[in-house]
Amino acid sequence: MSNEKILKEILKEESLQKKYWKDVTVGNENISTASRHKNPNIKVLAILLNDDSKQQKMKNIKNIFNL
Amino acid sequence: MAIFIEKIKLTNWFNFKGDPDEKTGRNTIVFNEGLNIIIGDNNGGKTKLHNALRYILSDLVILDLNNKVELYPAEGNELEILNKDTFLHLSKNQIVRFGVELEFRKTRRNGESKKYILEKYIEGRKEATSSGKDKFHCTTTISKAYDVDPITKSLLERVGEYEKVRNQLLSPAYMNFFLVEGEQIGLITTMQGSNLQKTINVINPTLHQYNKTFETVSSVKDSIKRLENAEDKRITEGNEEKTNLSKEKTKLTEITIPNIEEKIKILDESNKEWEATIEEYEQKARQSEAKIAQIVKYNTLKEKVKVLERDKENIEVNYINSLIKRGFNISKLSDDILSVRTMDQVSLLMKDNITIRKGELDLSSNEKEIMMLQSLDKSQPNPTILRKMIDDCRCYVCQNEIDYNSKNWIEKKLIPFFEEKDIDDRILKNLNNLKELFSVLNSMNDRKKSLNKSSISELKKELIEINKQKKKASDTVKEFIDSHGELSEKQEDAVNIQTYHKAQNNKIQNRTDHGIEVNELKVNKNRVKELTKLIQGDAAKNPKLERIQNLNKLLKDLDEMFAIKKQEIFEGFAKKLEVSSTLRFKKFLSRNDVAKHQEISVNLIEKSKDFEFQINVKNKFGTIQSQAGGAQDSLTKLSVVFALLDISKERNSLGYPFMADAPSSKLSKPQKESFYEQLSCDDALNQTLLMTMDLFDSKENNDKNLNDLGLKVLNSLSKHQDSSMIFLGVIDNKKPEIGVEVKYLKK
Repeated sequence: MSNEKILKEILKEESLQKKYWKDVTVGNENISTASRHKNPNIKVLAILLNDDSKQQKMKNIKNIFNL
Repeated sequence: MAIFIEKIKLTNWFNFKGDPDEKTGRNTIVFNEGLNIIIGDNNGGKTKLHNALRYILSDLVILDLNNKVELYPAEGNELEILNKDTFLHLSKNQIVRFGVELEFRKTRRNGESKKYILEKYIEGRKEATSSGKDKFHCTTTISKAYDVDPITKSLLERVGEYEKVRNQLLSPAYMNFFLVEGEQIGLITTMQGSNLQKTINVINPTLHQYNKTFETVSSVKDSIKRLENAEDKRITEGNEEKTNLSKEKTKLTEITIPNIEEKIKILDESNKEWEATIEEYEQKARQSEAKIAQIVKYNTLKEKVKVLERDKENIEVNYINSLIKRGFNISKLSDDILSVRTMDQVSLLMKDNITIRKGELDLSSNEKEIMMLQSLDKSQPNPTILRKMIDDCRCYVCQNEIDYNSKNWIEKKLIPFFEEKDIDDRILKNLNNLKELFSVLNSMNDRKKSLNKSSISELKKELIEINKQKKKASDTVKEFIDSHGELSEKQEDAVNIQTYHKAQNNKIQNRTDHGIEVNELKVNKNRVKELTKLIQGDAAKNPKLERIQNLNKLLKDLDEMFAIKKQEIFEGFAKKLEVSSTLRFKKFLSRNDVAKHQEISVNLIEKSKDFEFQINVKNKFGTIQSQAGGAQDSLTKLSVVFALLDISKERNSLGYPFMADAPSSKLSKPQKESFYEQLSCDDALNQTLLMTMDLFDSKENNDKNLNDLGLKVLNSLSKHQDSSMIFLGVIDNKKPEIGVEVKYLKK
């Protein structure tokens, strides 16, 4: 299973959906579109699943949450 | 696609002494595409052959070093692998090599096939150590891969591609599935420790992806947690500061400010009292002050009068002294006619002065009257005669009638003026005394005396002036006393003034203190406002921490979700393995009635944040039946191994060769029978290289040294063209290093 499939699987997770992206239509998201999503939680998820290094992931996540 | 190992050549590999020789078949083993059973006695070379396959695939070999049978790298353990007899007969520094050459074929579904050769050698020379013991000095390691030309059979080296070609023979991911060592390490290394995860990764790549993301999430979560902790610490430190600010505020609002307000209240109250006192005593104090000022003025005047009196006395003394200084000597004068004259004159002058003095002392007469009285003095009016004149009402000088006014004036002024009477005046007394003295002297000597008129005149002037001042001062004092009455300072006045001024001073001090306290109150109240702002500002939620916490929540939930997914995958795999291994187990024990009611259970156990499988045989009641180390246990493990092959075959179409060493050694005889029966027709296996001693018995009398099971299996294999049975036996049991004989019982 590719990371794209994992992304779709996670986005469909009801418990997470209710908490983190309840008002968002997540139907056709892929890692590329998710990384530009307006919802920061989806952005974080996309970053966690992309091929960047851990350092880069951490940097990008910090940027999203302005940390 | 299928992989077939066609041939393996061993050079000085354990008991396989010398170089391989394809023509004679020395150290060369040729395999069929199906089931290849390699039999032999102990030390025959079965495990060595398995080690040769492992060496080609992984650089590792199984060795028994220090009674520990484990996987060891070939490099560094060369003397354990290099044929001992070969090494023994090497001369010093002679180069020798040992290793393996393996030829395999990859066949595609369309029938196309391609051959490859992998060769791996270690070269070195024999060297003597200082202790005299020989050692192997490794000089070169050779790992080469070749493509075999299908037509010309020539070799084309794939430079630097040994690993790539080797991975075609058997992918490292599947190593644990297809390269199985039974006796030494245990059959199911694939289920042990981290191998289990590797195994599942092979079967279910999702796990690998999830694991990868899971690790990332965990790592990021840890980093964010550290960030949260740092922020928390920062806020806690801020909170400590805030607590201090709150303490300061509480102290100000509950202690300092109320204290100041109380002080101000007390000051205001005392100020009212002082103001009342001031109001009460202001008038009194002013009156007392005025009174005291008048007393001072009065005293000053009194003092001035005293001074004047003293001055007058001084002038009188000076007057006498002055006379004496001027040489006024009575005895001398009496002998001196001139002096007599002078004395006579002085006598007259004294008389004049007495008159003048009388005039001066006559305070009831005005200046004109005095002048008149003084002028009359020259005519020496006698008071007795004057009284007679009044009685006669006639002037004896002009014989004119004296009118009433004149009569009254003579009676009231003139007679008293010339009457000899005791007047309390020292000057007059002195003058009279002097007059008397000069009169006596004059009468005694009948001579006139004279004095310096001018000096007497000056003294006279001085006396007049002094008297004038004295009179003025006395008049002023009299006037003052008449107008104000007798004044005296009372204690009441001092109290009034003191109380008033004390109240004034206290009021001023009070207002000063009040101002200070009001200012202090203002400062403290402002500080309270400032503190409130600071405390409220800090107390407001920290947006950064909130963002970190939100992110942490997401990461925590993702972490938990991935953990659940991982567990689901493990559980799914355990279930699948349970089904597959039970199927295998039942196949292996197809003739066993008890086994029909038994099945293999694979339980997932969480251990140190990871999972392990607990594999057992349970009966129809669910009771665990396995006994560690027993035949049942071995069969269970074997079932799991074959179940893994089944599952991998489902997942992957690649047909790797299955290479197992002594997988069935611990099975019971009936189990072995079932096992070999099953093995001969197992559709999960592609090519099988099975090393076993289960079928061999050197004591058997038949020419092949096969036991009953061996004969049965051989018989069974004879029905399958693609199978073989190969015997590996040492040439000399006493000296196994002499060499191994390869004999094909079925080719």
